[in-house]
Amino acid sequence: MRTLAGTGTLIRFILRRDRFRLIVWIGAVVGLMASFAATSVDLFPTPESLQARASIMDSPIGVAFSGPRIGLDDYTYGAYLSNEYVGFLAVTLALMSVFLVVRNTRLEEQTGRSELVRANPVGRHAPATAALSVVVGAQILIGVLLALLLPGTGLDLSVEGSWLFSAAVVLVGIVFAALTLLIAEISSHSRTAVGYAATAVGAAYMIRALGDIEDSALSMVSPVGWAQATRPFVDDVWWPLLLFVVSGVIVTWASFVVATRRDFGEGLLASKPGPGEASPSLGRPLGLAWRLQRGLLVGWGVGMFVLAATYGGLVKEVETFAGENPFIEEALAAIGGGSLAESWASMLGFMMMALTASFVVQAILRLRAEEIAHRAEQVLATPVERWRWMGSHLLVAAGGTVVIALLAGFGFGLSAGSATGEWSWIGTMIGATMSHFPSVIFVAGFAVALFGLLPRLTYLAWVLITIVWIGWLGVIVGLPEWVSNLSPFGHEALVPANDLNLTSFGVLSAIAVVLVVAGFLGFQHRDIGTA
Amino acid sequence: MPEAILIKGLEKSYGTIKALNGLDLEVATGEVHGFLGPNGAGKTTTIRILLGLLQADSGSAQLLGGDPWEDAVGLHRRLAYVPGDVELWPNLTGGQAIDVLARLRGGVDEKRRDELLERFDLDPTKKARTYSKGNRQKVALVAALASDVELLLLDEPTAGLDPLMERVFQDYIFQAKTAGKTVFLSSHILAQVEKLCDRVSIIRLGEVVESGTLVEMRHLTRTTIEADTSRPATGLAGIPGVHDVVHDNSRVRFSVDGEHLDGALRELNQYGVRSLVSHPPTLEELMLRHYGDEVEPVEEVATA
Repeated sequence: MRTLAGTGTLIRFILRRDRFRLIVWIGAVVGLMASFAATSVDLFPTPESLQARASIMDSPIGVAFSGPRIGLDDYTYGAYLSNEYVGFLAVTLALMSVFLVVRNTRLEEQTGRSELVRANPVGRHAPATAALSVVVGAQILIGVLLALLLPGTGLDLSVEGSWLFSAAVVLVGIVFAALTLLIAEISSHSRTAVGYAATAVGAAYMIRALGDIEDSALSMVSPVGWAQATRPFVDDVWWPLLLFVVSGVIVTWASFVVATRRDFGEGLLASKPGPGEASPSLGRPLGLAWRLQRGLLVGWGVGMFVLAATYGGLVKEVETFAGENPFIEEALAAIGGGSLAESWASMLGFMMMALTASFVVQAILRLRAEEIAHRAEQVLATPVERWRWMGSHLLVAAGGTVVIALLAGFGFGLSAGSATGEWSWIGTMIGATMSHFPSVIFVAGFAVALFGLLPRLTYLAWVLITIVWIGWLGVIVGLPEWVSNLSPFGHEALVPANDLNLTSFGVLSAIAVVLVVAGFLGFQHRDIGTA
Repeated sequence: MPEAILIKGLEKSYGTIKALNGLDLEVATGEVHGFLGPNGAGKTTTIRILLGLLQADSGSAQLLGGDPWEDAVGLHRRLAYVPGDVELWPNLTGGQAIDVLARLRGGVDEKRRDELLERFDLDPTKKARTYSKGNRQKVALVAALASDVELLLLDEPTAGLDPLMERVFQDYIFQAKTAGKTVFLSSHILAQVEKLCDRVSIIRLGEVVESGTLVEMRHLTRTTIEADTSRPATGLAGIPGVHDVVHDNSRVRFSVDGEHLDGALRELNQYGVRSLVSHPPTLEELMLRHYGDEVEPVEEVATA
């Protein structure tokens, strides 16, 4: 056992170093699940409203976003949790494992910190074992807390079902902890490791979604599928838990074998070499800005399109959906408009543009990130004007914003059109998203002005984004008007349910332009650097 | 020809911290000038002001005859810069980063770039995030040396390089000097400055405390002499300019001011010199004269 020497000390070290991180993860997951469970009574006050929910979950889209039609015939609260929350929780816990394991294994090795540790009497497998132990321990703690809390939520949940529900989701987290350990041994960089492991989590969810839509055995290839196969609260099937135990042991063993065969600091997969020379466009500020931002932009674009298409497909179902649920019907009615479908589209248009605003802040603050990392300094020490460097990044961010906003409108419209046969949805929805464009550039202008004038306070841009989201929630749950008026979106009409407010469109756009100009002027005259 | 760098009374504060405190500096065109000082003395702040990245609070700075803040872009066409802590874009390869920096500066001489890559033994196809500190520094050096510029501003450029690469670096600095380029080299590696620089400025707490050629500076300091004599050299301590006399049987060790060297040697001769070693002051000694007051005595550590 000499290869495990020092594991205990390292476990205490990780617990000390990650104590807040662990508490936040555990608290957030348990708290979220408990609050979801507790609010289901408000969301679905009658058996009829639950049964209406079940009818939505029978459709392919419903299945893709929930589970394999568990207990739809008799949709109790237990069946609802079993069908809709096992997959969601399993993915959350799997991602928690991915981040925590990579952070404490590959990232430590990459930064050279684990070299310091390993130079002491610490066994070869000790750091990995310690990281795995902490994550598995955290998962088990989450499971126990959930199992103890669920029966007390007043949803008539059995004790056996609660333990099975908790065990199933937590075991998905544990299997992905082992898989992430293996991936972290194979790939030589933490970013790559997180990328591969998170892709594996996404793939596991997609595989079970495809399998469940077709009702095929494909679902049983995925650990998320195994968890859903336990059907807690409905059938309470325990044997799929064996699959987790067997696969967890095999994957952990494999990661130990890889660890023995590789050199310290390296992976089994070397980082892929790239071109030794830059393409001509890279040597220009705009080309460089595009290269640095394109990953972000493509990710947001694809994500936005998928999201928009998903919600757009629901315009037809929204009437039934809301008709059975007074809470949603009330919220949609408050928005106004000729039909519930229009209200739905207005609410989603707002949401997608709030997301777009989040993108633009992220893109603009890349400027600050480049500055803090001292890369801006190197570029600005060449004959590149400050305004040109800043302008190049902003141009890419602006182009990205337009594309993402169009994809949001187009994706929603396309999907709504194919569901209803009314293709006018495409134009309507592009108009709806574009009606919020002034708010998005207002947020962008705020971020630009902060970067140019008060670079140390750029985080205030995220505060504004938070205010935007609170304003959006306000539309749904009906917060007082002054709250939503804090956000630029609060001054805009909700299109297509209402007509475009030309005054606010013009005023917000004008303020945005002033803010951008102020940001440029400020940047021209300030010191570059972190101080 | 005007000075490549001319700084007078430069001041810069970050909040309450004074980074530069009336700094004066002159660098002649065509010389290799060492900018020597401990960490936190203000070397990087000076260079960033010369690059127009920071604006001085007061004082004047001229670079290649222009104002570094007002004419930043025009001046940057004529210089190349290597920062002390090179950060690269993690997703670009080293070769891409070199091309980006060199092209932004106005173009890359491909033949020269390839030669530099070979001499510095750098694989340009690796992603920058996999590079060590030394390799990131090589990227910035290759990009700077591949550009045809009048002035090289180098901020501790070899901190992460091994001795072999240090030699390659020195070759290129000599080459730049032969080509008539000005090199401004900030460093705390004394041997490097001794080997490369025509003139040196020593900076301490935001001020240049001494500037000149190494020969000039040696005048201002003491030579150390160790001798073995047939009779103990008892009379040395009374000779003007002689300091720190230490006797060890027939051996004697002392230091002497430059202008009193002659008198000290005459005195020493009277005791029958059997062997004699003298060495000029190293830069360590030059530095210690200015920073000696900061050197804390090493405390005895109790053994566990």
